[in-house]
Amino acid sequence: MDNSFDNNKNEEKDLFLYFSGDGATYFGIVALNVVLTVLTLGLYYPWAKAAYRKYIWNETEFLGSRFVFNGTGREMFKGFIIAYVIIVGMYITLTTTSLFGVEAFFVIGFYFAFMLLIPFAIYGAWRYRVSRTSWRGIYFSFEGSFGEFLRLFLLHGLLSVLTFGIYSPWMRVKLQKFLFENTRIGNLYLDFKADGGELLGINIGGYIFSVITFGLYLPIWVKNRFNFTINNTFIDDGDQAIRLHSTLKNGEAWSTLFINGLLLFFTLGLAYPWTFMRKMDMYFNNVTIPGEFDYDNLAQASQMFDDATGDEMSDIFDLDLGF
Amino acid sequence: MDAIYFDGHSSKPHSVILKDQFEVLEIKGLDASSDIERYWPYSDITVESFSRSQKTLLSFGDFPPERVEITGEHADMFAKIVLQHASNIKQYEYKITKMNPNRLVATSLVVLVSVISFYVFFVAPYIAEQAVKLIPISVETKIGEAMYNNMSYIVDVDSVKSKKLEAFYEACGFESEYDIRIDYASDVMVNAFAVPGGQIVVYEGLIRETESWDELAALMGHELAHVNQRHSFKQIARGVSSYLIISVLTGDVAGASSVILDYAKQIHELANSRAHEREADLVGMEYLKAQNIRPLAMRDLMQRLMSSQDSVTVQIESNLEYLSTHPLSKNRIAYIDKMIENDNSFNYDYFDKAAAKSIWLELKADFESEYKDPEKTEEHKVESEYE
Repeated sequence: MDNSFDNNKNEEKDLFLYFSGDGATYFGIVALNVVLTVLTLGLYYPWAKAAYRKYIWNETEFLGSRFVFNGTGREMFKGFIIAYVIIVGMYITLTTTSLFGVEAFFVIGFYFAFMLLIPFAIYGAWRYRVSRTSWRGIYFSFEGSFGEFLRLFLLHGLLSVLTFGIYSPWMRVKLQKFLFENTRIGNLYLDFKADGGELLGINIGGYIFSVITFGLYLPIWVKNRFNFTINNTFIDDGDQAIRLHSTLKNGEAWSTLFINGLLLFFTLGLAYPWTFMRKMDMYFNNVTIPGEFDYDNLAQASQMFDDATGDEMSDIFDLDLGF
Repeated sequence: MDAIYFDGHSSKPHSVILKDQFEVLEIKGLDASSDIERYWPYSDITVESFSRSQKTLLSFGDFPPERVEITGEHADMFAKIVLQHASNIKQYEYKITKMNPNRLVATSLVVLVSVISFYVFFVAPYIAEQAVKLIPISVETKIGEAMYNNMSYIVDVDSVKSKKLEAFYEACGFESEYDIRIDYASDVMVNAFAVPGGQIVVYEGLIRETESWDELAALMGHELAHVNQRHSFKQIARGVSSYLIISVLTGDVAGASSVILDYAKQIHELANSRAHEREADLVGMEYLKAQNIRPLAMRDLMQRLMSSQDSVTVQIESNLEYLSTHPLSKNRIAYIDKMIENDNSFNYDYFDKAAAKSIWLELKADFESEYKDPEKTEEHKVESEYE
């Protein structure tokens, strides 16, 4: 790719992300990291995770420049230990106290405290990933406060519980909006403006059709959710907010994900590095970024941020952040 | 050569020319008007990324770092120069990126398989062995009880006959640190197993096969050896320690490694529990010797199992598999023969234990009386055929 930074202004409005990861290289990186993880009895895991992320970020290009994941194994190791100590500590306290038959409210209190870890994990993971990402030396940053996120989580979480989950797509939209609108690079902010009802429709339709078609509809459901996220994401420079858009179509989603399923099945999972790269390829190469902004003059604004506790916690809870 | 410099304060690209000065990278602006002039000592440069497609990204300095993106034929050259100062792991990652894809996949497969097998076959068992030593018998007994409670729905226990079996065990005179409890399962299956912590279960089908009291004693010796040697507990500990590494690895590599490790683990458990069975046979023989019970009873027991066609290797349910993988009875007879032949201490005077023998006779007599009951006979036939 040539130095496309020269012609990004208004000549062609649409800019693309470009992903070039390949399965063989990723497999090699996975193999190296599995070996090191096994030899260190698992302690190497955070470094392995850093290596995977560095690879994915590095293979993603915008205007000829690659993204960089600046997180390190050491940071994540610290987060990993803290997250483990907190979660295991809570488990141990809960099991030992329940052995001695403590009051019910104590146990409920504990579950509540546990529940609070989930928003912390979502918030922490997003914040860590965003603020350890850079492009052309400019770091992304995240400025939302945890108190505000927690308030949103509890309020909308309560509404979701009261409506037996019907409200949860609106909750998701609210949380995503909070995470996006507080994410910036230079003078550009992300934003997310979506209708929870549309997501509810996607999910209900996706669920019903997937059941009826014995799962053959699943890739389309995945596509609809992906497009919902991308098409409702905006870039905002204070003067104007312009939508991203996804060019992912049913055919591509279906062939990519269905073939991935077959590959995984027939190789007993060994094809994972390839299927993962195929999936990343499908996602990244279908994102269109508005060309109206001046990406050559983003100014460094953020501070150094390296707390990976929430990120590791999201890993332990196996949370899927979806983006 | 394409090289672009970013100063860390703005995303504004500056075209630059790079020169490899001794131990230092020289960066100078391409335009005459540019005032960029940097000298980065190689030892302080970080290689942020390299790729198959001749692109290298270098960074330098504290936050916010300056960066240089190099594209084209010089990308690899500068990556190599700077990497000489980087860690071994980083250098490996670079080699991986530059390797021929087919060779890379082949090498990775070989390395992966050998390291994972090394872990599953050597490291995990060792850790498990050490961990088991640390766990007190009381805890083991509790865990065993919980396990047995979970599986009790598939074992139809006859409590009256269980008492008789316990009395039989006492009469044999075996010794154990564990509190041994024996259950009699009313089932024509030819099977017996030991649960961690001292619970032994003997199936009626197996008792029917015995033709002498000391064969049942040999069986007790075998199962007792499993308990005393903590076999199934070790097996579980191995499973757990293999699982631990799986769960760590699958953080990101979900599909691949868990499946491989699962397969490896199953094969391993089979092989391993054969070693345990062998140990239980041989230790069981020692118990017989200690109580002056006929050593060849163990051999006879194997003979019965062999002739009962399906031997003890009946798999009750997949979750009990690890309790029941026995070596082929033929091999077992062979190594028992060898042991008796080579070890003179097995050449002792043995005698019947009257109390034990009479209990065994009672149990056998029960079958005789049931045999006259036509309904039971029918049922027995059908199930034998089924097996």
